[in-house]
Amino acid sequence: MFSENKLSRIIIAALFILGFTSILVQLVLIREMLNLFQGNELIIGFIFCLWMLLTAAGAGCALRIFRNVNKYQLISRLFALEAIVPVIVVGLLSVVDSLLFPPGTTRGLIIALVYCLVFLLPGCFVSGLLFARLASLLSESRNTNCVSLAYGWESVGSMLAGILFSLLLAFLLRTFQVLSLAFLCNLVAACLLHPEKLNKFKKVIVSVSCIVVTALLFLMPADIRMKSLHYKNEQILYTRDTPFQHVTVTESNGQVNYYGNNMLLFSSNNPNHAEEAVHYALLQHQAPEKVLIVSGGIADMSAQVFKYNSVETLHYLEIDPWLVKAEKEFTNIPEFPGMEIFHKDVRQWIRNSTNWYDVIIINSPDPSNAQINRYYTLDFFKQAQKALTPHGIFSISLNSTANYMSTEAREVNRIVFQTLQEAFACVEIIPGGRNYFVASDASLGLNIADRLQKATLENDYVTPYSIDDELLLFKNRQLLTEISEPVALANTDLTPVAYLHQIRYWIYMGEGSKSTEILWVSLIIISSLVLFAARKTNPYSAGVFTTGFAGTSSEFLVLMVYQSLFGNIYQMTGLIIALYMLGLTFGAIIRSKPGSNTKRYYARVQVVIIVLVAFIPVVFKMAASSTEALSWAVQGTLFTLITAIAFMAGLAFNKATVLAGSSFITTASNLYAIDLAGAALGILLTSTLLLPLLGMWATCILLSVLVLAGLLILHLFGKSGNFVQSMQDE
Amino acid sequence: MAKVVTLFRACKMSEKISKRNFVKSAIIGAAGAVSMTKMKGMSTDMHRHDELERDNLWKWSKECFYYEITPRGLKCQLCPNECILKPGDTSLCRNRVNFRDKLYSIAYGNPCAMHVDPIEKKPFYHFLPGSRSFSIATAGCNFACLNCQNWAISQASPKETRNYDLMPPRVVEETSKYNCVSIAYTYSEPVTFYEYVYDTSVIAHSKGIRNVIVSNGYINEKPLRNLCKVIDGATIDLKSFDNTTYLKLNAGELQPVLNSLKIFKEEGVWLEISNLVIPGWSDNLDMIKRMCDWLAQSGLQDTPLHFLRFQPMYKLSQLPPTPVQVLQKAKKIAQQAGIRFVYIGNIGGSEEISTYCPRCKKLIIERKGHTVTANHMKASNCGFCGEKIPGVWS
Repeated sequence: MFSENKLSRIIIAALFILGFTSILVQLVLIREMLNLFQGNELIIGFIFCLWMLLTAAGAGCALRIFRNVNKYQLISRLFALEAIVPVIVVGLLSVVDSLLFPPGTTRGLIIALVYCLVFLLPGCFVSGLLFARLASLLSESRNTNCVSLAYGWESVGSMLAGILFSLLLAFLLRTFQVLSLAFLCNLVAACLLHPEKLNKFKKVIVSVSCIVVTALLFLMPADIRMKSLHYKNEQILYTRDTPFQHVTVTESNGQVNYYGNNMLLFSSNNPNHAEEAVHYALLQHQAPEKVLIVSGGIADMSAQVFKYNSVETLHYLEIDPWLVKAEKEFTNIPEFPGMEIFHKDVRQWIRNSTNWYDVIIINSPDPSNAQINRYYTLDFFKQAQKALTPHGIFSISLNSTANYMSTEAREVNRIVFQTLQEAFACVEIIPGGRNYFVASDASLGLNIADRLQKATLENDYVTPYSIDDELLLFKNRQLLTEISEPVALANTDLTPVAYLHQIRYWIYMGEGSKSTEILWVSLIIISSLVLFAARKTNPYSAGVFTTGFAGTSSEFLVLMVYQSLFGNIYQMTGLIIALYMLGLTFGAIIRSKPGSNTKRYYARVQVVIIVLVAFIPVVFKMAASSTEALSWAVQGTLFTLITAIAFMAGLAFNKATVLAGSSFITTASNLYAIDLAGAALGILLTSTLLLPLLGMWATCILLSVLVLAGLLILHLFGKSGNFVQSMQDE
Repeated sequence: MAKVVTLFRACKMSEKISKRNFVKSAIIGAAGAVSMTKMKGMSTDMHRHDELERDNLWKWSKECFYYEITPRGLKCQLCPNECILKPGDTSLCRNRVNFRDKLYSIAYGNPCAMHVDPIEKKPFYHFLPGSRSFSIATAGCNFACLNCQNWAISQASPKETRNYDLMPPRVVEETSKYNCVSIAYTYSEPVTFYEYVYDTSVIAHSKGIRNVIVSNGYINEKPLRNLCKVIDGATIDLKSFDNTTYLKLNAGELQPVLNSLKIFKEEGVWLEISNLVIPGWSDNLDMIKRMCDWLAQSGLQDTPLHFLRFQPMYKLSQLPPTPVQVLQKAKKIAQQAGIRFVYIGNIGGSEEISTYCPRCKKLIIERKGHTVTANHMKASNCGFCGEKIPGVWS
């Protein structure tokens, strides 16, 4: 067997690898799940919750599973399993899906939950098992409590994987190539921990086998094979994961189809959406010269826009450069002087524009998550209004409500319509293939057929013959009657209420009526499971629960604030997450100063968290009214804030492990579970309910109150004094 | 996600789950959620369900025309689903209830959709071209199509939708008010609000207003033959020509629909057939050939056939639109089978939706969008060669 020093080093290396590979696999699997379920905020929250719960379950079972077995041999085998399981799971995900579901069908909430549970279980469970056992082995090898150290090395691995994936792997590697990297790393760990000493020959055989299998995984076109199961009747021309989505291009009977995360974005020979999106907006302007279009397919959109002789400039924004690259490769994009393509987030793009565009058209999916919702908020509408010329036209759309508007759809339409009304003097809704909302400070007209006749445009769908102005007005009035009253809460960056209703609408579509009840029941079930995981809470660990809750919630809120102020900048989002993890890790493993392991010190840490969390909306308020010159200062403040909150949350955890009493391992295990529960519940409830319902200010106050409640519990029920000494005495 | 919470090691999970702990946790979760509901009153529509229990009658109920009392309960005999309902049960179509051992429709005089549409939109190309149709629908459908455009009403009960109060006489009044020459029972499934359709049609006929249905044709023979006495036209959506596809895509069966097509023909109701070509579901050209051959052999050569382009919808939102090439191939197959009037809908342009004389091949009705831009018919005949063109032209 290994010498003590060597063993310690090997365990640390294994912990590092575990952290590194589990994050890589987590990122890949979550991406695959979101591909299947078109990730709205509820699904994202559920995936995170389940991930944490299943990992916790694995850790919880560690003691039983490792009883009376050769622990090194089992760990080695588990690492081998951890290497293979993700590859199989991702493969199975496509195979099972293609067997169970007919082509092209979407899945509802219940199916999504079952899927997440089944496919996340193996990887998460094994990873939980491994951590728990490695942490205790490290303590055994050094004959002291090394749980924090184990946690630290595993966190370093995780952090590195997160950064590497965000900045490099997501751009360079396909799904199975990322998995092959994790596969190789886990096999290395399996070999390192293998108890038998291998002779040279065996070593060579094992090494070569590992490399060959990895190379095969890396080089085989497994992604295309798996994707082809999903696109049974289409030939895949191009498929890749980009940092923004999974782009797939297919061909069937001469038609080229472009998909983002398995949802159809646009097709060739199908200009109906482009015609509606462009002409309903441009026809409202007497002589549009400068046009901004966000997404929707450059070929079709530009072809429609340049039917207007007055147009001089078309700025086409598509945040995903790979999508444009694919479109250029597989569709003939007409060349127009004055057309330029940019790969930016529209909120970043128009932040400093004033009186520039005559028409802005947003082709966005419906606001199903916080990210997309940013294009439907009052803050954005006001930005757009500022970027438009005085007679400028703004257009955005929602799914068609065809011949009837369900209660759920009515809520979303009502919110978007009334929010637009707060930013623009005139707003009209034009029912077509989608519900097109056209807004302007100038007057608008619904005599579309009349305008089309005058404009003499050669269209296929949007023609004076397919639109009857009288009937259009009839439908428009019907819709307005539905959505004008009662007054809706405006959808803002800090109170993003639209996406909560969009989630209800999605549930209604998948599961039928009772969408609200299903939403509540599913949240209650998941929350109950999380709270069950935290059932061992005591006066000391209550603080860990509340700071875990507040910590992850703050991370989400700071991301929202950042993206509201500066747009969705991929690298910056990665940086914020990295800073959060860095602060957390540092706080958790920092060495205690003499005298700091007291209840008072622990309480102070929590007070600092209360202040920092309450500071988030203050920063937003100040930043929103600051000048451009101060934008770096604002960004710096946000980065500092999130690092500080994370550091404090980590420090609270660190202190709680010392203060909570009883044996080191039991205390640490309990606290980890409680911290996990708090964080899981925080991300789920804050993103799906608290922020949309209460808004940023009230959410932050609620988070502060929650931490304060933990503090009060500590004050009322916790023993005073320094417990380190008493524990050492034990 | 935060690493500190990502991978943790709740060692205490190994302990046995106590019921008390679980209940305690559940109560905490429930209490939190309930308080959130109160905070914002999110479920504004919930009272609707509480107040209107599905199995209760209301103002918009009428005893059904076709049902039998059996030892197992009431057997609805309107459509091939033939639901057997015990007291309090609701039918598969969601708008028939067993109330005290009588079967009632709860979709009578309460349409949730009400519009004025060009008749071409239904589609009807040989039925009063260029006219407007007053179009209504109540909630409910005896199918559950994955691609339903009107899923919000077809997959709902009338007690879940917001409805107009429009009893049959008022439907006729509104039709006249909007200068419509026909009433279209459409959007969801008129078979499931049969009594409403029937009674309204009788009144409409007395006022000289025509009645058309846009339906899946999933109805039993006896009710259909009776309905044929009061309606003037039907567009039947023949979803595919394969029973398995019917089952998986629509939750129905093929044969009853084929029977209905024959009955419409026999009863002299003007019939048009639409076929939505869905990639991967109903775009098999061999199947389309079998369908066209059957139509021709069943004496439906003169029945206009509309191949419609699919657009991603409802639960099939991950599919692409039907490639135009496939629709053109389908049209060719239909023409080769002997179908004389074949159209392609939802692809824009004019050529594929205009009517050409099958004898002289000249354009007799030019359509653009939903508008008739030129009409060279003389009464019921081609204005150029005098060939009789089947349809309802005046």
